[in-house]
Amino acid sequence: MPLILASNSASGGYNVANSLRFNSASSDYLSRTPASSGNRRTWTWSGWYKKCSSKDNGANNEQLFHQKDAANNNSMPVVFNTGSDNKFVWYDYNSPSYSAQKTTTQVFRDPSAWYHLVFAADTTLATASNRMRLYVNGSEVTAFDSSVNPSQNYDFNFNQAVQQVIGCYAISSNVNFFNGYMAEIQFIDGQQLTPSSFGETDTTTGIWKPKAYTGTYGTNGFYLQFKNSAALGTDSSGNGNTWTVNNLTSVDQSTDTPTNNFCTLNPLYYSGSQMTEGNLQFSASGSWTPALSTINPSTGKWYAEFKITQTSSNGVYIGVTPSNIYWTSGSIRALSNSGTWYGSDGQKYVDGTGTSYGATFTTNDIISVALDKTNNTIIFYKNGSSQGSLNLTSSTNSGDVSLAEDLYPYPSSVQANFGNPPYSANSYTDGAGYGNFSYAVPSGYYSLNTKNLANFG
Amino acid sequence: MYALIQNNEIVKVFANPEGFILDGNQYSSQIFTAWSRAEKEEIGIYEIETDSSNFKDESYYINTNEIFEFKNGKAIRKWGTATAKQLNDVNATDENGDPIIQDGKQLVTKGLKSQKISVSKQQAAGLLQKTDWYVTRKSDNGTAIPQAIQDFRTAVRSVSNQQETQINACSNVEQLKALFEYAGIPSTRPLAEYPKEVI
Repeated sequence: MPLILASNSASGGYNVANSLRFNSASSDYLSRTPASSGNRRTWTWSGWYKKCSSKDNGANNEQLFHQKDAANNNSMPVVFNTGSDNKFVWYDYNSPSYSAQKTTTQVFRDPSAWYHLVFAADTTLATASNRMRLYVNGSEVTAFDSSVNPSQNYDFNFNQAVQQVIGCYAISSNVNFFNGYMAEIQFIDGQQLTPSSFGETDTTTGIWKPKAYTGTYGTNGFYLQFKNSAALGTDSSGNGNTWTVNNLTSVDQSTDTPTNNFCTLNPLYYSGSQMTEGNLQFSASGSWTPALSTINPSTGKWYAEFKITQTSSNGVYIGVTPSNIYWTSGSIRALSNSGTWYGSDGQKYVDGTGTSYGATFTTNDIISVALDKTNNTIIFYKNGSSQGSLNLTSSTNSGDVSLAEDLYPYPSSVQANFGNPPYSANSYTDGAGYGNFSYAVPSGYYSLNTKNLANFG
Repeated sequence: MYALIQNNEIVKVFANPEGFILDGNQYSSQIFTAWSRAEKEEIGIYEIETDSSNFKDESYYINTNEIFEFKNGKAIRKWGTATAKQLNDVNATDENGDPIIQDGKQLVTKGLKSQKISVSKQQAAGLLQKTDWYVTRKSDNGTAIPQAIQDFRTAVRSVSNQQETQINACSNVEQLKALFEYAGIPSTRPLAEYPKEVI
């Protein structure tokens, strides 16, 4: 399945260093209560989002940001509405009806891409359709399933001196947590801006990419870069509008950003409901289920690590498999065209046949994979020790391949580290300076991200 | 994970390796692993040690209040008291205690029990799905379902019900956690196991 890598893969230009990984299972969110109300009629919210959940995986509404009024009856949520066909919904609710609402007709299903979203409001305008504008990747959304324009000079239930939240629905028991990554979150108080204030089209690739915002922020404006892992809510706008970090920790700081898009596990390959931690943790379920990577190289030398967080009697398998492999049930590594795998029983499985290979592995072991798609070899490592070089067979020595996990049953689980581990690693980078690995990356091998693909893929 | 220490205080935490400028010098993201401990400490870069005494299983607890401190020449990362995740489903309420209705529906926060039961049902569904065709064939043309298949399907449903009962009987998170923990050789757990697949 082709996946759009909507990211700036070219080196140079404006670089976004960090994003923040939100995990609904740990109730991650940011919160802040402004000291005073700002401009409730005219404002702009800009942010980059890489979403991990999908309606197809049974996920429900996930909030990008939200604020309710002081009386707690009315609110303005902005939702990635996984419960309604993966659409974005921005509305303002005044009990018992919607004073404003935009529900996109377009659906957003790609879990491997960064989306740039801009929500720009100005209810003072005479033209009703210009009072509430939504842009995705630089283009204005004009097709809506439902569209209610606010009345002229309407005050949104937003930018008030009550608690605002990012990543959940702001009520006393916060719900609808977001699953995914956020970067470059900026709020401009008092101006309705267009995406060109925050992004531009790369003249070489045609890709929409971030650029530095050079304007003013207004009283309640803020800029979250997530650069300080010990203070992730730090405001870089100069206003000091710092956000409180709730349940997020330093390991949730990621270098998977709109200017360097990293590989994750792919929730669209059958198994999305079993993925958490920004599609980096995969837990087994009711039957054998594989998890494949979002980036599938056909050439180059690539490195990744897999931390075994829980094994089971049926074992755990880490390997390389054709990205277009047809699988319906059973263990994928048992298929005759499934590529090369290393099992927790110490065996190697090559196109379905198991023979002796290396050491057994279990919970807390880290299995590294050094995949050479140029010379068609693969080396598996257990806790940094090579288990031997293997030649890829015809199933994987041409075409695109995925790094993959195969587990069964629950609660066995594995955390993938393509350079942004959901755990504390040992700060080893690849030769280009990217990634955060537990063991030294073999010379000439690189982490799977768009910058490295552009240079070494 | 490393910390930059200045005047006996942590001024920056490097959760991920990154290049940085210090006293006008540009340092590469690779110094964290390429330089010796002494070389790093000479410029104020200390490896962060983890005190995980308060850290609990993230499947069942939320580890909060991550703290970094520099004490006795060591940079330490530790946590406050972990909060147990909610065991039972809760109807979301606002600050006045009134139910939160979103788009006409009561918002519900699913507790751990519901999540575990959901996984159990998914497992049962996955196991039954592979033999569903026997049932379809019987319905279409009357061909009998082999006894072994019938027995397997009955056992799957029985274990699903048993797991649900065991999960619902837990009165706290620790009891629920214990249900899923394997111990001994061969390893077993208190929670009932689904039967081995027959096809």
